[in-house]
Amino acid sequence: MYNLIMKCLNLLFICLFIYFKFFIFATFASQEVSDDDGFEVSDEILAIVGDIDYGEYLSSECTTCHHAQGLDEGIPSITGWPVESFVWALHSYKSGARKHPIMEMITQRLSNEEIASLAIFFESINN
Amino acid sequence: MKLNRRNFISASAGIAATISSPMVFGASRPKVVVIGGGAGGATAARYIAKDSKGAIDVTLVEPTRSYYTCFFSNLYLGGFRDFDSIGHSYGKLASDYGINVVHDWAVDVDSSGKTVSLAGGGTVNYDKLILSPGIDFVDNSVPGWDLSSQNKMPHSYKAGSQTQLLNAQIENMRQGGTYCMVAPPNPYRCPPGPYERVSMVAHKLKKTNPSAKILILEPKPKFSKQGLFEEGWSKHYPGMIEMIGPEMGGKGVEVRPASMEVIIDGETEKVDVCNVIPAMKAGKIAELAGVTDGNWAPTIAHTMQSRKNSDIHILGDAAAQGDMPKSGFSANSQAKVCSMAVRGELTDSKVFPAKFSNTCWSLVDTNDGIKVGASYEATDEKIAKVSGFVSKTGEDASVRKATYEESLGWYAGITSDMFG
Ligand SMILES: Cc1cc2nc3c(=O)[nH]c(=O)nc-3n(C[C@H](O)[C@H](O)[C@H](O)COP(=O)(O)OP(=O)(O)OC[C@H]3O[C@@H](n4cnc5c(N)ncnc54)[C@H](O)[C@@H]3O)c2cc1C
Repeated sequence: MYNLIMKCLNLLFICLFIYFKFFIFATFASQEVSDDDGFEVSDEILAIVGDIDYGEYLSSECTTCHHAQGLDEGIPSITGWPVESFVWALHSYKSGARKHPIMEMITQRLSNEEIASLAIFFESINN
Repeated sequence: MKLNRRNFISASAGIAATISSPMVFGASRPKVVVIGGGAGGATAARYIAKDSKGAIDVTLVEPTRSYYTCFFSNLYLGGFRDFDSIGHSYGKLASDYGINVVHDWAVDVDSSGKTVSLAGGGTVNYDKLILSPGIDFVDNSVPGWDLSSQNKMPHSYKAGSQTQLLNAQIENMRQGGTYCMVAPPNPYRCPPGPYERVSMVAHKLKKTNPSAKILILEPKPKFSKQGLFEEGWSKHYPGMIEMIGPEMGGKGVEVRPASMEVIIDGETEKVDVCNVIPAMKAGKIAELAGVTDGNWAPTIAHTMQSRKNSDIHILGDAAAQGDMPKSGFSANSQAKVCSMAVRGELTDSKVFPAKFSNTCWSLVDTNDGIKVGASYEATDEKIAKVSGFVSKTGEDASVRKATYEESLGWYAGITSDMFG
């Protein structure tokens, strides 16, 4: 019985995760055709807990373009995202699975810890 | 007269607003004075005030009450933006961030006494001074032109009334007339700026004055995004734009504002509108502060500190920093590194390694946007380029449209990052 519950929960989790990916895909408008459907981020990367202060400093590089109060005219809003979605999205650019010249350039010099720190900081901004 | 905070407020009618800081600190709060409320200075003032949560007393000295961005001023010339949409006030910096906004000119810096003198007669003290005064023009770089001719032959390279003036001249140009641009030599602010301007002027003339001509007098052998601009010009504005390069007389042009003439390789040509963009140097106050070496003010990449005075930081166009182009994006990026370094020194807050980036978008015609960008790191020698990208010729129209739309988002983002 316990096993069955765990399996169901697991399945639910996977469904939610896939749903999130589509959600991101739809909102994080990308201007070239991206091949990120099957893109996966490892458990080790997802397990990293970021430093919110460091994330706040790093975030200033994002807010030159991404509106700090979450406006999404022409450039998507990145505030208030769940940490996992944020981490997944940045890693999809970093790996090149998702295409965008600026986002690929910016993420390629972010370490896994820096991405986690940005994720935890931006999750904390609710507009 | 030395001013303290109280008599300064009553003495200067130019203060937008002052509020007490969110926390109560004694008179011992360290003081930062920022000269210039543009892309570099407004960002630095805002980040220091925001991140120090009242622990640092920030004064911003800026003569104009509305800052008109040079970025998107070309889009105003093209009819894509109205003038008011590129103007920004300093109200929120005062009301929401507790910044002491002083609308006055800084006329001198005494770096041993650590004071700044203002045109209105007062002085302000600083522990750290941040200079982001933008550019001034090099005297005599275009023979025949000086600031007294800027009404006849506008530069429109500082936004505001100059931009409106050029716009009016273009709109009132006779049918079939010639708009001439005397393009600037390197280094200058906004490398693609003159060529985005040509595109926007062409866009306007194509509608209102289709037999008009555009003449570019070009002193440089090549310029930013040249292939992309030339592709766009022949596609959207065939036959309208002529460029005379350096070896054909585009270099060393002389002008006669009174008779609206330009002299190219000894030949006199009459034009209808003449947009002279002279050679540039750091804003005059940088020289007065003693931090320039030649035309620009050399900086240490890790902190944006002056190489000549460690209590002065220099941002944006005025700085000789290495590989970054002189752009609003760059100035904003440098301001964040500087703010972190200044807070670290004054309040012992955490200091992280410097990182910089830049992207310059340009509009060639309706929904035809292009961009160039790069990321940078601090080395002991300079701000050094790490990697970059540029739009490609022959790109799909949908990519170009998305690039333009992205630039609108960037404008909203950076202006709120500067002014709150
Ligand atoms: C036509 C054009 C298009 C451009 N397009 C773009 C673009 O698309 N993207 C981009 O990133 N950049 C663009 N730029 C470049 C951008 O405008 C500048 O690089 C940027 O503004 C530099 O910031 P700054 O802080 O160094 O100087 P500025 O933004 O010029 O700010 C300097 C401020 O200092 C003040 N000041 C000067 N002297 C004093 C003094 N003595 N006392 C007090 N205050 C003083 C001035 O009033 C001014 O407000 C463009 C420029 C032009 C001309």
